[in-house]
Amino acid sequence: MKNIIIIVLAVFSFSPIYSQEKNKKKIVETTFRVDGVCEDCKKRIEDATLRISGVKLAEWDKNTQQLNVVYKNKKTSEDAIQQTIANNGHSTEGHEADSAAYEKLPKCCKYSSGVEPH
Amino acid sequence: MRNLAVFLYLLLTYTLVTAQEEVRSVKGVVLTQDKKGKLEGIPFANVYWMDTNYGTSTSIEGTFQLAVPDKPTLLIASFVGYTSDTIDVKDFNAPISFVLSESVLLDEVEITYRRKATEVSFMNPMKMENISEKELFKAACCNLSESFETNPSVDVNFTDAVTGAKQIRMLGLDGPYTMISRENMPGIRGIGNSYGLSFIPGTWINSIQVTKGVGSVVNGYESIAGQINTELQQPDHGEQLFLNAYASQEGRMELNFVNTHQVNSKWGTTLLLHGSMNPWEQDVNKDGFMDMPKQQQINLMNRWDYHNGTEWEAQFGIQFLKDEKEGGQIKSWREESHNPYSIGINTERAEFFAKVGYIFPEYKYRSMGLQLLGLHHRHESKYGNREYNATEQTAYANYIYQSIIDNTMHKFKTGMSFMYDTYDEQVDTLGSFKRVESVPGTFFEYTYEPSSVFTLVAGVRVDYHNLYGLFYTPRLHMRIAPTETTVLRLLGGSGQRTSNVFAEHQSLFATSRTIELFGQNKGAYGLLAERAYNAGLSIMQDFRLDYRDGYVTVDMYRTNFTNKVVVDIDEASDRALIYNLDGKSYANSAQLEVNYELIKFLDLRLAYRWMDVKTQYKSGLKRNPLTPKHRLFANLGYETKQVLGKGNWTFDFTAQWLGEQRIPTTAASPVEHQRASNSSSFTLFNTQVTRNFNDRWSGYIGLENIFNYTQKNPIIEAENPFGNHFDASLVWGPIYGRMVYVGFRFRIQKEE
Repeated sequence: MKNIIIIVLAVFSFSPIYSQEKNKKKIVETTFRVDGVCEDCKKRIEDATLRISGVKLAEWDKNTQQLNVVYKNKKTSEDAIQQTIANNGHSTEGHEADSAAYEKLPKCCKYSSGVEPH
Repeated sequence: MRNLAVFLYLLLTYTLVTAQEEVRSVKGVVLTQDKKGKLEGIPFANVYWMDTNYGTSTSIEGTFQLAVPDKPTLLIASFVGYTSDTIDVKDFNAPISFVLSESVLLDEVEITYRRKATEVSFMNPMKMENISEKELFKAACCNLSESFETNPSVDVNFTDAVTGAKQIRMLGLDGPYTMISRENMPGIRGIGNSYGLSFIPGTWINSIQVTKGVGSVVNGYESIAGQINTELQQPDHGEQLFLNAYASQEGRMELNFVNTHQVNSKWGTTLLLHGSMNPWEQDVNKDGFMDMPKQQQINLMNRWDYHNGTEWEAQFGIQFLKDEKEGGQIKSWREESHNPYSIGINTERAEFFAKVGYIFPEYKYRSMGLQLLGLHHRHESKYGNREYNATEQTAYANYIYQSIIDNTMHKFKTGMSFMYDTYDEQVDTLGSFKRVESVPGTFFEYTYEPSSVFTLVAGVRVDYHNLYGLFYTPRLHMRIAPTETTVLRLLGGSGQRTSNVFAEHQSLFATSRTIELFGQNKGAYGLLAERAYNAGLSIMQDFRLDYRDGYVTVDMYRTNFTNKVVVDIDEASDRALIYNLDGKSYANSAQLEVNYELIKFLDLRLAYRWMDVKTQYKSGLKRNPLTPKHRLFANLGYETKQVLGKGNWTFDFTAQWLGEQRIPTTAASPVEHQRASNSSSFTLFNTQVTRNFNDRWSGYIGLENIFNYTQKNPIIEAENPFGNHFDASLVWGPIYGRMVYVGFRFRIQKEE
């Protein structure tokens, strides 16, 4: 009886640890800089990021200019995420904003033309 | 009173300070004013002593506590987007309050983050659901009554099978028990009660706030089951231009136009126009009656706003409305019969409103406001050979003074109101009823908010009614947030109203019932005022599951009538008795609601409500007729990606199931005019697709009642409308089946 309990306990305690190990590798959290100045920017940055398949969470902070992203590393990568954001007109740590997309941004969001955070 | 409070406070702080000794620190709050002059704490603002390392940031409510350096310098408060403020602190024991103004830059930016279409405020002591414009777009048609299609808290149903009139229901109680206000002034009440919902075009509405249970005493004593407040488009937050056209399979066509113009830095104006018509007769269920009356409406409003930038703010406006409905038997029957059954309902309404607000420049927490309203309402109606005509004139004034007791933890509102109504009614064969109601009143509401964890709002009104005498209206709201994601709310209080029993039950005229009025008391129609107590409890829990947010709410309410005007259609199918309640009348309601982003960008809302609504009729304590006991609701919304400079799609799908409803007795009628004692339960499905082409243009197409569910034979004895059993009021389900509608919107945002 005692042995059974030990075995059962062992199996149960082992499996969650094992799957957690696996999960840790699958779901990655990262933070990097994204340029932007306002709530419109926030909406655009977060929306563009969340639309990427595999991204689960995107939260951008206007004050720190940091974007916090949670994603599945099997489906996408940090570099691909940064590239997508840059394609949507916002420069990131690793990628310059696509200039055509930047041109399309509303006046209030032109972060590299002297618009202060507001 | 105030001196005493200050004295007590000084005594308290003195003892505290002496007890604390050594470590000197200052306490205070960093505030800002919103556009309405309401003070709000700024969370996470920086507070620091100039040229020192002593600094801190404010709490969620904007409060701070900061040690005092050996050599105190100037104290500075700053926050992104706000102009910093500096105070030379002399008295380190007194609480310090900073009021930061938004820097000019921020005023020009419109905040359009992805907010949920319906939001329940976390901080508000009352559980208030805000229905934004975005949510209103989901139900593209047509007026206030259709604005709740995607909201599980408010029920909307037809009052009868012939007039197309809809009424709302909250907590299982009929529309009149909910106070419908427009910008916190009396909105739909009095004679306008039964058709009033169709007098507020949906596209004029900027947002709607739905609050269950008794509301604030500041807005009067009439709310019992809840309060629905509508905010219309106004110069402050309207689009510069908004144009909407709509057409439906029912034959309803609509045009709406809203234009906002900023005349100069102080004056702004908004013009709102609405025209609608339904020129065709349709009889889908082939009972010889139009399913919806032919209709035309012209509705216009012009409003002006004045801000002098600092202390003064004023608004005033006028509204005119003309509405004509023509229903009853369709053309082929009219031609055959010498005496066709026809319905005509004409309404004319003119209204003036004004609001003036003043904020004391040196004490930003102190303000006063005056609200004024005047209206004239004329209603003429003919149902077959029965007539109901009424004229109402209303004048209303409400003065509100708002300040704090010592600090912003203790706020209060007090003031006086005056409501004056005259009614002149001609009721079918019952004759004429004239009355004047004149109600001066005063109120006091105290708000205690020591932290973001707890809020208490205690209010009381004393009003003197010329017909019903002096009465008190106490109300209490409490909010407790034990954790950062949980809110518990409790409320209780009373409400009183005069029942405009004929205006509110006009469907009685679309029957052959003999109306018998049993009123021997002093008061309107010889009936006592309606009075009820309401208590409620709600719990809201925010959660994040797999990185997506959601919330669950559970609420329970009980309304107990101590007096009510009962309309009893249960005695016999050819009689309608009107009398004061003798016995019990109550409404219990419980609702469970879950909101969650099911997968990315797909929002789900699920709700279940249970209602137990009973009244003592002459024939016994019975469930209120035509009120379901169970209701299930589901809504799914999905939005595609918005590409820069291009548009996107939104999809919306709603399903609701209504449990069976009790149908008043028809047992004494001949078999062919009898109906089952309970309706069947049924499910309705609606969907809408919107294509946003760009920032300006969008088009939508919708389908209501997809599976074409209808109530069979909604009119009893439709073939002989002047017979003894004719009844078009026993409606529990949709009359018109599946319906397609299309429309477009064109808008130009304000220049930035």
